[in-house]
Amino acid sequence: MNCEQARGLIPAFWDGSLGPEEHQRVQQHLESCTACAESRDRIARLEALLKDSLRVPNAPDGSWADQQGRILAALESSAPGEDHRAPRRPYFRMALIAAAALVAAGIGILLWKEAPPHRSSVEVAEKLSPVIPSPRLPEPVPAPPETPTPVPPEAPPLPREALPSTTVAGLVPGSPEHLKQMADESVDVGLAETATERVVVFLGAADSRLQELRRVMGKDDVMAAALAKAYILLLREGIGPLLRDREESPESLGGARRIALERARKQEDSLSLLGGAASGTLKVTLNEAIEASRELAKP
Amino acid sequence: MGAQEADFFLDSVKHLTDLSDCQGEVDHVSSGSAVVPETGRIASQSREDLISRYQRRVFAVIYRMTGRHSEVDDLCQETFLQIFRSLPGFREGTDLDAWVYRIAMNVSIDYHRRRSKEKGAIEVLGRNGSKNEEELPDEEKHAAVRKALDVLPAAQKSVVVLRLFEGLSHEEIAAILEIPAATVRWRLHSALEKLESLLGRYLDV
Repeated sequence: MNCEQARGLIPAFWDGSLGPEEHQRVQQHLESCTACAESRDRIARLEALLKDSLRVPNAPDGSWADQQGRILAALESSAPGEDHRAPRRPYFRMALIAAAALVAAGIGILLWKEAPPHRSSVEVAEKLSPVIPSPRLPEPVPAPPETPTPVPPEAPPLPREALPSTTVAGLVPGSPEHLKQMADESVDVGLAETATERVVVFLGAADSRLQELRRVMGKDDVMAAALAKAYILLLREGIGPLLRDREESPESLGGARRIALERARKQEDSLSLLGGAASGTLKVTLNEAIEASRELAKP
Repeated sequence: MGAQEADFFLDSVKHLTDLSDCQGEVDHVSSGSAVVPETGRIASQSREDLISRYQRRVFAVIYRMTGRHSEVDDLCQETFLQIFRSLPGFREGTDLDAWVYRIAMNVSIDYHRRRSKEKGAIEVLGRNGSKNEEELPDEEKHAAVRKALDVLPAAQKSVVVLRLFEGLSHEEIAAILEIPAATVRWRLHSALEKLESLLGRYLDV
């Protein structure tokens, strides 16, 4: 195992989430490499720093009983079945989360492209934060006419005409034009009115990241890994929550699930080919991307 | 949770849901009914037990998620109100710990969404500070950690809080957040990378 491979696995090593063989291989590398051992020690120091800084303050005597009294009093004073929560606006909420996931993917790419590891990630985040759009609140729309569950043996073709033209030939990943393209994707997500439309936009963005990844792989593997991470983010934090949203109707989600399932399987095939040609951290990240595709492709 | 505890909580839940079911009747029927005080007494005791059992954990989770002394108490109260309101939907076989954590997390994340971003605060990180940790008062260091944690998306912060501070396994966190365990791992590792980059100057020996 070389340093690049080990570095990619150190968080999982520290967290105890590696299999026994892989754990052993990382352990052996750490015993012989002071630089990687220092990376592991930094994570341990980070854990200690977090635990030290976020200690829960000691409560004064009687405060737990006071709190219990306040909760019980509030419970007594609230009418049965009354719900004091703010009215939920699922379309708005999901649109905002989705848009944020896209912008976060862009931030990730900038971080890997431009920011040295221990520095300007926050500056980059600040620079980008204004591009998060304020999606308008769409009117509730009737459920699509189809009744999609269970998944049919052959899913209908992806409505390609609905996909945004996100991939521009020759666009340099990490360039201002590329970031503008991702900002446009987030606006498209914000404007989408149904779960299916939102998933289609996300899948288009994920496809774009894969195409860009293919272009830079071998020339700039750091950028390639950043694009793979952006792809994972789009699937896990963008599409995944959309498909699990209990406030969406099953009819609406059925169409979105079918499209996601079909496309995720194709993307998994592409990633497997790319993963076969990769090495080091990029290979680890591509394997993670394959796993994200498989999660999405589970019926 | 052991079998004995599980039985105790299921009993508590049953009493509470019984009360919830009969409260509508209380509004219409004489409160002098012999049944109501008895049910009310049991339910009241169960409520106290349930609050006592979870209030420290709920407090700790919300405190770490929000970092707001002044509002933690209100958010704890909101959490317990939601817990009691949703008791009728509680089903046997559901992990009560996970259910309580989930509600506390949702309350924290809702709060997080409501709160506006502290743009100025972020600038403190990684800039203008001393490079030497020993020269930094603990308060400043702790504030920097708090701000770094607030930079994380709520989804990543939830995983950090549940893993590092509550000591839950990936599978337990997956059950609470209703996401695959692989996603838990990925969020945790992404969060650690980000925190390490934001707090790097405090980690140098």
